[in-house]
Amino acid sequence: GSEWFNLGIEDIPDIQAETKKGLGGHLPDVGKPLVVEILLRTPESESLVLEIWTLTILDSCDTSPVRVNPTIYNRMTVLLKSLIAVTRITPAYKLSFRQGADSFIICYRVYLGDPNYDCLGENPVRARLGQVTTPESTMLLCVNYRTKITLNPPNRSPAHDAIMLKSDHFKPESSPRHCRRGGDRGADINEANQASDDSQDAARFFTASPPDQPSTPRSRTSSDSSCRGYVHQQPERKVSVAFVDAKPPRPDDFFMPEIPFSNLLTSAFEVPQEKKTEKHEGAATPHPAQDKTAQERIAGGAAGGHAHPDTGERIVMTASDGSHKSTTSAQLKDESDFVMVELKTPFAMPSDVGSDLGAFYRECQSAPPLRMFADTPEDEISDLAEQLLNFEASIDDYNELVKSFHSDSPNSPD
Amino acid sequence: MNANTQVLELEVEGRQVDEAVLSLFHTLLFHRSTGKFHYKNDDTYAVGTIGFQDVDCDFIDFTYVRCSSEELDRSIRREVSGFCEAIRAPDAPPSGQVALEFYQRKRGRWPFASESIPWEVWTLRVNVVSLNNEHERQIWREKVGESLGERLLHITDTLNRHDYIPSPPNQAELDLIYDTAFRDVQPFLFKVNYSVAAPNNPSATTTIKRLIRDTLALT
Repeated sequence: GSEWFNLGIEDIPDIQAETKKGLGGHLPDVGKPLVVEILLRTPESESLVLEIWTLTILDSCDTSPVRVNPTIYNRMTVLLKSLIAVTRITPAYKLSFRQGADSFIICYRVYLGDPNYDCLGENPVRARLGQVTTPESTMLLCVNYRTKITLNPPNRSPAHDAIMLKSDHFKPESSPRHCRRGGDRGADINEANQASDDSQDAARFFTASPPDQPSTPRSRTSSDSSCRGYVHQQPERKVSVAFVDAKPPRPDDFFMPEIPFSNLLTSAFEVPQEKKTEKHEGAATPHPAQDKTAQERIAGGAAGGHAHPDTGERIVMTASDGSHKSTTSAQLKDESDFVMVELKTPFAMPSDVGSDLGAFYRECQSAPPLRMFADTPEDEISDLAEQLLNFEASIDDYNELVKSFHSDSPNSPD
Repeated sequence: MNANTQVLELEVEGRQVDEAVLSLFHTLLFHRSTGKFHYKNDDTYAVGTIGFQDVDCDFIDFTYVRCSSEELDRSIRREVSGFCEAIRAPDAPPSGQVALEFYQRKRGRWPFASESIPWEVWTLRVNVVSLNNEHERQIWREKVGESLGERLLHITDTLNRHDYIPSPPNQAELDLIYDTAFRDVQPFLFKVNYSVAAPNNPSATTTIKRLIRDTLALT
């Protein structure tokens, strides 16, 4: 047998049931269009309306009278085909292939009544697909669809601003260390980050509030209590506060780190200089007379504790960063930020410093740096500049060479 | 009778010509096809069902719907590929036009042959651009996809507005309105014409040729 409108459209029982429920036993009528909304729903139950399809009934007196015509059914068929074709060009169609339980799902809603077109964002497309005129009335099919599909970040109220950075994050000159105490408390959120002591600084770093929220606790008072109170109000922030050191990191360290995990370099492994240094020296490399730049120290530090005898300085030894240091160490500037880490030999008895395992471990740690690391990148770069100049000077020779290749081509077999 | 003529402009890259023209022609044929008529007697008939399927373009960010009839697909592709080859030939001008024409046949009295009278003509004016790098191609993928979407909305608006469609015939006159050559679908009689001469100056010879050819058409 043949299907309605002679089109092989698959009927889905769930959709039929939902539609019946949405219609509530009525049919579309003048003033009560049939509306189908296509929505996007995130796992956080946020919804975004993507498309609104409407079948509006216009009063027959609004349209010119038309004879009863067998082609009404045919016209409806054509309109239905147009509907099918147009559903493939909307942005939601492509989006629907990417849905998943953990990203978003596409939902629909069917009802009779006036839709709200304002929820389609900026510059939606409004298209009229067509109409079918009957003696009773005229049916008009339209679609409005959203063009800007931006998924909102996970649901946060305005007080929970998504950006957890201090406003002077990238500007050391406006950091609390530079503009000290007593600054205005209520007026400017930025400057409300000024701390009366460093520990509060650290806590505030992770709980900065957006500038356009003048009623946050911070702006009212800048005392310790406000900080704590603020933390209490946002329990999830407590976690980040907990990871902050008692000794706050310097503002420089929070520049866009060029070195991965560079903030680990200043982690609070502040172990005072020990007699261990003598031991390290003993196992130290045969390059004790290297220049005392931070770079060398790091390269040595990765290998295992170049402690120069005259140190009051501290050296970082963080095993995980060993691989990065030799290439990026040139960027580290401040020697005094390095702390010496006492790395105990794993699985060895702590008191048994003279054991084979311990000695072997320390030997491996203090392996000499590769000779290639002795050449700094700067030298290579300056070499390159010279090389380029040389090449440019002999550019005519190169052109001749290339031309000589061309001159061979007539003789080459085809 | 005047045919309803519509002209659509398209600007595409060489590789996109085929898919762009096919997408719009398939959309038109989808709207202008029905299932096969099965006559019970001379006047009453049952209409078969047609299926449809999505086609995703390879070179354009676009998806269109076509009838699920392989024969119809092959037939239209054959016609369109002639145009594509002509317009992409190395010495061809960068623009041309291809038209999908729906027509009716009128039986001619002897000695005159039957005439073809178009009742709807869709002309696509295609300009081919050449692109230099992958970045531009990516931009054109999206751009052509959007412009095809706009053309599609224009097509659906026109198809649902224009009044004239040939009335359903009796069995004897079916062939004068519908193309009954396909086994699983019955579109209105259609043909594809194209030219890659500059559209503003159609050459006199092609016009005369076409005139003579149409007049002398035997079927």
